[in-house]
Amino acid sequence: MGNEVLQIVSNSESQTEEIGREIGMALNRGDALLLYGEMGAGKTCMARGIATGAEAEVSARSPTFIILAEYPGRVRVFHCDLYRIASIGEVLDLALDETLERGALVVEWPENGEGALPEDALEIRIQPDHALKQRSISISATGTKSKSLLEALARRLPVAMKS
Amino acid sequence: MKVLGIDTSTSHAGVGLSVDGEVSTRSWQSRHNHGREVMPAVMELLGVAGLGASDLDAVAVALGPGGFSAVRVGIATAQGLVAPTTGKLIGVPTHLVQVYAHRDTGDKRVVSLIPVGRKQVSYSVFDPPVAPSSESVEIGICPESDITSRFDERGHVLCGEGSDKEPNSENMVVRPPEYLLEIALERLEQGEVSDGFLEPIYSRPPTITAPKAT
Repeated sequence: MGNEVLQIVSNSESQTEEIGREIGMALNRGDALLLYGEMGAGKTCMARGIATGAEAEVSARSPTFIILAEYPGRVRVFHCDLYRIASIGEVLDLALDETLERGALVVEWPENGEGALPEDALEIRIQPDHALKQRSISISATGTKSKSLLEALARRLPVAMKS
Repeated sequence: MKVLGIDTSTSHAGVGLSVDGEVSTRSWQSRHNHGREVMPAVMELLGVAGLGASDLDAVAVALGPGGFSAVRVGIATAQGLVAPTTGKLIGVPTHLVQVYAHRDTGDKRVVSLIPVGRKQVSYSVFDPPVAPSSESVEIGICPESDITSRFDERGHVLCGEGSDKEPNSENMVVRPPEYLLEIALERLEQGEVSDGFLEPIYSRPPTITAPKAT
């Protein structure tokens, strides 16, 4: 599969969430997803869609100080938000690798946890184009496990986005 | 069975909910703010599950050691949630929650470490295999600089906050709320519940003193 990158355009918040839902439906235990994007890019919206797709019930509004939330579902989803992390030691103490033994991991602001995150991960980069009111979403894999998820998404997403 | 777990012993704070074996958790880093954070986290957890405090069969809480006020916040919250209901109260030493993640260390003893300030750590030694009813075989405080000579050289497995600098440390998550819940569920089944009042566990007397007489 080489260094394939899936490119998708989202035209709305609901479409970003729908893309997330498709990713969540393909999710398996052991999958790690890193969500990159500036403030307001749509990472939380995407994460909510992923959890919904994994049949994990998430709250509409969580306290902002929560760093790691664990949701039971078809696949157990660990949602990690590293925005407020003060040091890499705090990320190491979360031992995020271990969550993969029990479920799938979705990380927002992975830039703040470099060196303490799973090496094999699906990287999802959300780039807003404010003029066009669009989000350009790039999805790539960094290892064997994430490549198989990427292949599954390549089969799912074009179909999902036709509507 | 519906059990809520609360652990505000240290800056690694967490709450968890087990509903018929399905576990949900929330973890965060508290910067001396447990009192403001713990109830929103609990309410969110219960809200997603569609439960209220009166639906809980039990509330489990980590008893310390840890921060003086931080430990009391967790215990007071647990007692407050249980007081008007028929739910049971279960107190679990924080060191036991911490070593519970290391149940499979073979025949090695497990040492749990919790920083208690002034470059000292509270330590608690457990014999294998660690179980929900395990009790510490040795507990105390020592300077951080003594950990290696005191424990590493004896081949013990070290765990907990601050243990990552030691060679025999197991790099695992500090205290996932699900372990508090696992211990609580086992204790609930065995009928090992509190009569409604829990004492915090401290490694040493608080640094505060009574006001001087004028």
